Amino acid sequence: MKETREAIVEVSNLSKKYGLTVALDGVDIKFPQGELTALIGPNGSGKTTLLKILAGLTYPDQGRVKTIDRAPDRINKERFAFLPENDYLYSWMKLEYLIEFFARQYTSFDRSKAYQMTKDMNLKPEQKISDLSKGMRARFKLVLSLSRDVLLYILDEPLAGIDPQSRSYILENLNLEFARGESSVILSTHEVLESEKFFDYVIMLGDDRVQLEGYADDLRREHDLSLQELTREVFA
Amino acid sequence: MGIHYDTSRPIYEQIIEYVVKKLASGKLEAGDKLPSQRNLAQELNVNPNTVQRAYREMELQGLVETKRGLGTFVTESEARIREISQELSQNIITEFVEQMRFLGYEDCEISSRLEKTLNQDQ
Amino acid sequence: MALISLWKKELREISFSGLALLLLSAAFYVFLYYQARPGTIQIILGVIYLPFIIYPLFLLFQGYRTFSREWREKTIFLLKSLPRSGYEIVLAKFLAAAVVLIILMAASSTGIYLIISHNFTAVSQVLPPEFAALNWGAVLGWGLAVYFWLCGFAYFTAQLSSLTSRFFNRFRWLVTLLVFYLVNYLTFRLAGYLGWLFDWLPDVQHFVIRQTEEAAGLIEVSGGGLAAAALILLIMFVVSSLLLERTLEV
Repeated sequence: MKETREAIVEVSNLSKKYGLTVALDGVDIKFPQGELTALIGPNGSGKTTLLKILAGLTYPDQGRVKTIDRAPDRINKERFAFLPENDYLYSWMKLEYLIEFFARQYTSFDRSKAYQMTKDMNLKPEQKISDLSKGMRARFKLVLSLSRDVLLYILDEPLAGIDPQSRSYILENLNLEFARGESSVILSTHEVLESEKFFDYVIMLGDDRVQLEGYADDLRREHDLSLQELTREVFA
Repeated sequence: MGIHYDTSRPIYEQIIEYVVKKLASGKLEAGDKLPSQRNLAQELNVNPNTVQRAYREMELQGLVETKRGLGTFVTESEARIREISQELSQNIITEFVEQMRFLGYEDCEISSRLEKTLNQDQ
Repeated sequence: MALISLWKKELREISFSGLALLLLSAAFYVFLYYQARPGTIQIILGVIYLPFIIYPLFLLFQGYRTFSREWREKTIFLLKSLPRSGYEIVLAKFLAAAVVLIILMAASSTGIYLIISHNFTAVSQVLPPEFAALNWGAVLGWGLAVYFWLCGFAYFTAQLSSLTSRFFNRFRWLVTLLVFYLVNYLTFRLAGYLGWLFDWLPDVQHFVIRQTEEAAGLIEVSGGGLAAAALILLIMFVVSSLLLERTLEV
């Protein structure tokens, strides 16, 4: 077994209801520091709710949240990057406008890195958000998130609904960026296939709570299964 | 040069096998410097922490040595390398024999078929 | 810098409807300009202020729309991820709307000025003689103050109503209307108390008609009422900001 590192994010006894629907029910999780943690679960398992709470966009009914070392408040939002699942970019903006906008809003934003990554991802700064395809938009969302020099990246379904080409492109870029620094990544996904070799730590969320967690290679050895197969078994 | 991953087995073990194979085939030699963890992670397209774990395991097995500030090097001990490459070849043979037995072959049949294949290749 | 870039973004978002209204107003004044004759001047003077009735409605609409659009288009995810306080976000939005209002008013005032000055003889014939003696500084100053307050009030009540309706998943329209009604009722009750509370403030007096000392020509503004009016806008601004930053979820 690999020794457990310090936690970058810690939630305890977290509960959240939407009307009568329970999204999270007394969840305790420690996300290890310096690792790429995959939050795996089927749609509706509470992944998005959990990540929104970690990023300070939604508030729990009960429980405590510590993102890096404090509640995810306004000051803390400068210290982590959050990539939401949906199209959250103003559709009338050009890519260069968004890069400038982010550079003005976040002191941790690296403008030249953003332009470089935009180029690397085969996007043009003078394109408009509304003119991008779904895969291009997903790539640009990643550009904006990874261009911030922060300790923690929270990425909600960065691969969902994207063509396989863009997907492997995004994964390789994410890995490249991750290999560069001391930061931690939390990434949620409902499919594991191509991405599993990039994961360090895996948390499987289902039925409003944690079903299984551990280091990816430890889980593979214990169960003699790939994460893909293990996911299928856990959520069967 | 990459690895075709079997995702049902720990990936760090497959990285170790990749290095051992390079040693056995002579592409890497005693005392050679291994690529940095980050470079290897990029080359093999895996998480850098997994490479880190592979390096640590190889260090525990005495296959590599980390020299502070210089990087990771293959051990100078030829004996240890031979030992480990023999271990690898033994593993392959054991697995082959197990699978043949599983298919219902008798031991004498296995060796005769093996001989036949070897002769054909020549 | 962060606030300025936020303000620019809001300005860009409001610019389309603002521009449409500006063109409409311009067309209206061009029409009046060419219709103005000694025979029609009375009708024209009667309708010349019409756009000024539309502008508060425009602000009401903007106040309602500005956040409901962010939610509908999911851009609220971006807004809530920024390391900005609720005050900054609400202020940036309000300042953008205020700038558009000022541009609209400046354009309309120019239109009115041109129409009146080109038909000055006809206008002076139909206006009562006291008009020339009016203390225009005081009349316009107070008129504008009241007008701006009204626009701000329309904007913030609509915004507060639309934000409050976010607590509900259904019947948002109904909730918005109910809250709008309630906020109006409550603020006027509150204004009464606040006015009484600040009654000790000195009143402001201006003579409406120059050169006369008659009491009838006096504008008298209660200091307490002024303080109450200002405080009410401030309270709505603070409540909207806190709701946005601390309570509302995406």
